[in-house]
Amino acid sequence: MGIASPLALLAALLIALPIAAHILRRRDLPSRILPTVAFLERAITHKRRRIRLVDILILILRMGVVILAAIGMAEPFMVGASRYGEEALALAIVIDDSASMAQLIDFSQKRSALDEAVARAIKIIESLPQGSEIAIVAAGAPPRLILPRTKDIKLGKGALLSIQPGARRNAIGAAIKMAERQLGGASLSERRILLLSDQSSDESIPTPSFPVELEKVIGSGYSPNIGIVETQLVSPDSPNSPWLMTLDVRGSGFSSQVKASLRILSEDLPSHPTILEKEFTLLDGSSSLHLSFHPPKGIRKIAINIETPEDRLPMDNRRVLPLEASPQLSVLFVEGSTRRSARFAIRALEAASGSAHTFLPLLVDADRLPSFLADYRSRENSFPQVIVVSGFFAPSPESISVLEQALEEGSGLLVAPEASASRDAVEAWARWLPARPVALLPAPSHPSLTLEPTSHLFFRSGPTGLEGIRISSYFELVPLSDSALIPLRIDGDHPFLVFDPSSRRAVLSVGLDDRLSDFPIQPGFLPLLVNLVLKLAPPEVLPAHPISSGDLITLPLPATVKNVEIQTPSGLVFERNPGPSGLDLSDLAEPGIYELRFADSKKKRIGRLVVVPPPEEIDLSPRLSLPRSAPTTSKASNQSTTSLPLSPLFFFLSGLFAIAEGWLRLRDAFPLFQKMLRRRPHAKSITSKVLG
Amino acid sequence: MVGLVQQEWSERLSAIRLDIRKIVEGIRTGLHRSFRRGASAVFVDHRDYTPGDDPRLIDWRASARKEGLVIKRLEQESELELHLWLDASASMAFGEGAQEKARFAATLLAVFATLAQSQGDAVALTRFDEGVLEELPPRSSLSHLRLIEENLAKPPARGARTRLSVLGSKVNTSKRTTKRRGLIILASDLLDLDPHALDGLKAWTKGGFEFWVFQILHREEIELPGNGPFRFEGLEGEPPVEADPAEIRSAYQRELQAHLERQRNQLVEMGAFLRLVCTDENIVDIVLQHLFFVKGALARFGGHRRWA
Repeated sequence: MGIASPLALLAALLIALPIAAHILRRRDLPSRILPTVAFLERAITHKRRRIRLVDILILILRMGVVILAAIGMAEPFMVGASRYGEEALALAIVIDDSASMAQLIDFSQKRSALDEAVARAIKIIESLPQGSEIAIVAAGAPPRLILPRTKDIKLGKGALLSIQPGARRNAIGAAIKMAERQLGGASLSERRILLLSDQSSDESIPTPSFPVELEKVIGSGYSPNIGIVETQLVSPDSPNSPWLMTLDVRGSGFSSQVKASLRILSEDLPSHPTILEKEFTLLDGSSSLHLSFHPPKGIRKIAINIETPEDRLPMDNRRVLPLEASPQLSVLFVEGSTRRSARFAIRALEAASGSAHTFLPLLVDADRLPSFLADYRSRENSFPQVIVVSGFFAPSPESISVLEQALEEGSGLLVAPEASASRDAVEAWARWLPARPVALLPAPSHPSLTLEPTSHLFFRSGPTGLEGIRISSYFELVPLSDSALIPLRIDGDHPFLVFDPSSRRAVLSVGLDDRLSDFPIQPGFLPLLVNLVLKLAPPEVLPAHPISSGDLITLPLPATVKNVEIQTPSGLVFERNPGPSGLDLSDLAEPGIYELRFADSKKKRIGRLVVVPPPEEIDLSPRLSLPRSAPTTSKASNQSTTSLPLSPLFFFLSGLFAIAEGWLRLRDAFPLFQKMLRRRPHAKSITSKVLG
Repeated sequence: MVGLVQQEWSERLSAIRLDIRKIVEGIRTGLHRSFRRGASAVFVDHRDYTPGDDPRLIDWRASARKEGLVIKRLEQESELELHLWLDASASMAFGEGAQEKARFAATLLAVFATLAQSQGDAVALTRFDEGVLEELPPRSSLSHLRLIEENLAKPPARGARTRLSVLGSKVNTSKRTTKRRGLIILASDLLDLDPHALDGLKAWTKGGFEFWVFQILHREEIELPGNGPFRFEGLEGEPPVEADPAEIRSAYQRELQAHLERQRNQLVEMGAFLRLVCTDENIVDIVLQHLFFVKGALARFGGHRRWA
């Protein structure tokens, strides 16, 4: 129980009015002449006691009218009574903190949807019945457990206030799963999940195990927004040539064509001088701009700003880019068979290029491998960063020599078997692999891939895309190294993938073609291959393209690197220790340029990484819905609090008191009242009777 | 002249004459049947002649058949002696304008006086409150009518209480002027709470007088309108009473009704006619309705039956 406007209780002082009226009315009454006053005296003699009681009752009712109205004006509310009842429950609050939640819902106060969600969540946990448990999960990628399930609900407020908007994707499904796990161990039988979101997500939510209440934290109507989708920066060929930039801009929620302005600023200089300024129009909600500019000398960072009126999400209007050439990750595919078994993998990397990484796929037949690597080494001054061997072929002494050299200089290695491999060929490759291929075995009739805890290196939480894989036969793999990880197993037993993060070498139990399995055409093939290649790449390779929080970015580092210094876009510096599989960077949420500094055995290295809001967060229209098969789902609600307002009740009671007071005063004046109460004949009938 | 009776009322009132149900006893010849035997065409009987009798009444033929003079007794058409009693107590000063109880009562009595005078009947007036204020003897002249109207129009005395018992004692004090029987019309609010206030009036009805009582009340006195507390003050020195009409109305009306019914029963018992009128009613309608009622009663009962 609380009061929203305590000052309104001062209105209760008006209670003095009916009391004063009650006292004064006996002292200063209007005078009336009545010749038959003697009959009045007789009547009053009989009714005096009753009149006195009625007077007191009327006084009480009048005082009640004033007090109840004053309480009503004070806006009393009962916290939590209507939303979750009186019984303790386990509540997991899932707060969407994806980039779209940074949209402003109140321009004047700069209040964002995330601020609103946090405020609502705080009110909700304050209103929870005694003994309730809460857990708080942030649903921006990667999903994070902000507060593990606890009965100390006071911790919830601090945890909620720690949630900050960032360049995150949506991971509501994974967050709900995380919330389910938190509720799974609760001792209370009543368990619920509350999702506070702007619903601007296309994510498909799996059917939850517990009732999920979806609360929309933004008002109705469209939310206009314009944002930068992608930038491509081409460095000049000569010092006098301009930088070239392609900028893709997308808008949503606008009813007509939108005019916007673009400015490119120098981010290094304190005054941020403008390098380029341009007006442009968004046609059909998008625009592609091709720009050329000459930045001032010594500038290493530029900021791109776009502006338009009514824009709700400022975060995606700005992008900071380093002015440096983008490195490419070269991946050499060695075709070990005549079946062109590497073509699926090459197409996958080509498709993945341009989003977060730039892959340079190279292809060579096995018999040409020594000469190719020698030429590449002499031309690029290094070997390809990752070598993918498709099919066991019998390596020649030259091949063995040059492969040894490449692996020694840091190239990663992935080997995928092929059915027709000879035993000698398999044995020849075993020297470089973390697991020994033993024999080709027939697969169970309906095999399934089992995820091990280390699978998070390659897959986001949720479906892997490999659930429906069909395998006809596979190579039995026997791990050779203690540091070898087995993220995936066939039917929970036989290794499907063995990966050694320290040597950056991996081996699959099936091939990269569709002969042994349909692995290459499974949805999970591409993300697994991309992440596997990234893990196998040398440590200094950072994504050249901007990434968003939630992207599976793990920087492989040599075992000698114990910590990495990371400087955020706002200038904060912190250290992070690499794990066995490398340095996890998937949670960087502040948009801008990050600098990573570390030292390996040879020299100090500096890498740069750009984090930007994900393009799908530009569309702010609410479109997320829970699955129909969810246990119970409430419709989107604009209720900001869980409090039950009691003002209507008090105003209603005040009205009832007023009616009762009026009835007491007027019941003798209106015959209808008397008739209703079956009283004695009323005045009119008496008059009629007397007058004949 | 005060102009209590309006000219336009005359045409309506001319349609009916003031009549009573009992036989009157007048001196002069009039329109009403009389106990006196006189010069009418209706023969009653003979009696012996005594000195002083009108010689024109000697029945010579009958005297020839007898030893002495005899007189032929004829039923005489006598004039009506109308006694108007006006309550001039302070309680009658309630109301505004024509709806003031005193003015209404005076106008009502003036109409009856005018009607009687036009028929050649004698009209007397008595104004009273706690005692008799004025008393005019019965006369039928026009100048007397003017005098009666002037006295009717006098305002009530302040603070004077209604005392109906004074009317009973008037039997003795006014015996000379009221020795003949006739019609008494009393206009009063009858606000005398003495349960024996009307006892003295029995002497009048027993004496052969027709007794009409018009109880004049204002509508506010009956319905007690209004809402909210008031300090009610009487006109006859009663202590003030604080009350809310909305709260007390029912009980007040019960008390008033009990009082009115008690008085009605007493008046009916003594053979009087009581009509309660409200000051917002039309006076001519009241008079006409009453006279038509009396005429109908005469036709039905021959003028010798009790009303009740």
